[in-house]
Amino acid sequence: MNGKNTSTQKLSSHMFFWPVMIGATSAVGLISALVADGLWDAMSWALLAIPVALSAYFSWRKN
Amino acid sequence: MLSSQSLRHWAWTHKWTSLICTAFMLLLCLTGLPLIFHHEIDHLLGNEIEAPTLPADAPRVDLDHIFAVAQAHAPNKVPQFASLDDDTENFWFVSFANTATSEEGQQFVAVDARTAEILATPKFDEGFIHIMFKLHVDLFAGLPGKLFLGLMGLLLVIAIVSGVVLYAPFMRKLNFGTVRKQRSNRIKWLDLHNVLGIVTVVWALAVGATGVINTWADLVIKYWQFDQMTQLIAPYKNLPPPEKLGSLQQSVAAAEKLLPDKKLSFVAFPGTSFSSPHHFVIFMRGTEPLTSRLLSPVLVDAQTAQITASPTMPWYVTTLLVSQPLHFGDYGGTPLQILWALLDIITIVVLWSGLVLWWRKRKQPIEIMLREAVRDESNFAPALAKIPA
Repeated sequence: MNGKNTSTQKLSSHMFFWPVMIGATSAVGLISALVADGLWDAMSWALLAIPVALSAYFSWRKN
Repeated sequence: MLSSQSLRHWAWTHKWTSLICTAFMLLLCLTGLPLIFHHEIDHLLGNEIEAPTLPADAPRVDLDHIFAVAQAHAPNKVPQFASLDDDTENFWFVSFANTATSEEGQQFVAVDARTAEILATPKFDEGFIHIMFKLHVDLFAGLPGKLFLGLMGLLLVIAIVSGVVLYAPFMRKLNFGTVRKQRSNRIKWLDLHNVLGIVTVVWALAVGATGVINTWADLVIKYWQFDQMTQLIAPYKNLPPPEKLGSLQQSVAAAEKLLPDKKLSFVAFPGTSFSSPHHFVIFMRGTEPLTSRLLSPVLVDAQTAQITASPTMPWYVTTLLVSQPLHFGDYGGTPLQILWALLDIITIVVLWSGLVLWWRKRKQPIEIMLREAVRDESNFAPALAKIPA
């Protein structure tokens, strides 16, 4: 892989891979607690914790 | 793929929609934070109403008597709404005001459902939570304030969407989640703004959009009156409003008999924005998590306590009702409230970092800004150049 070339030619679909994944799991998390209690609530907590955990990780990790 | 010209348009859109709404969004995020925990805060402040412990099968007092006790406490006021406490079902809340539709002179009476004792006469129009609530909902400016905040919310939604579009050129050369800390402070803020913004984007859009919908609540209910209620009460058109109300107990019992699978949510007394001048409207709700947010109104003639109609709520009211929990974050227990608060704080960082980025750029003469922009854009300019507009 030629790093320089491929990185400048990166399609936005690659850039949006993780954002779309996180967005989709957030959406499921937002809805699941509405559907029912118990396990559905727990699923919502787990899925909505992802953006919170990633925010903390990216903010504080050392380069 | 976007041409550099359309990219400039998106940048312009992002800058101006954000600039106009950011101050208000910071206010909404800050005031929203305590509102997420308003129950817990009320509890801590000792404002929560607690009914004495009685055996679970203690007989319930007739609702007409409960209402008479409440009305005697607010003798010159007009009743608006009555509801049974959600958690314990041990007491009734009855609200009064100067007229059926006004917010002036509001008075609340909590009456024990088993003893008909007055437990509390809470004041909801004062105190910390009330100030946060008013700042959050209407800036102490009533419907115009609500609609104004709704407009700011719409700008936020546009700012978020344009921010997602701009995320692509900024991240072209960077791995997901990169925050360049060893470079300038500006670069660090820019990366943080992009990363935190993109990972929380769906939550922010959901809370932003449902917040906007909530600002239209008064209008939605008004439209429902016009759209559905007018037809239902047409036979009563030229009749004077009832002078003496019929039995509330019988009205509620009739609604419960009609919809045995549902529970009482609240009663709207005649003449309020949720009822007609001639009817109690008994709002029933489902008992499952999904259906507990949805309301089924039962119109009961306020004189005879006979059911007049039980219409299905139109889609726009249902949309409003479903959008409420998605804004409040009150539908998944304490862990969800905590996540709501954390996501709210992250949003504050995104708003603040956006403001910082703009503020620092603002002080530079336009030439330097341009030169710098070109240098910044060198990250993605080669890629852009290859792409046909």
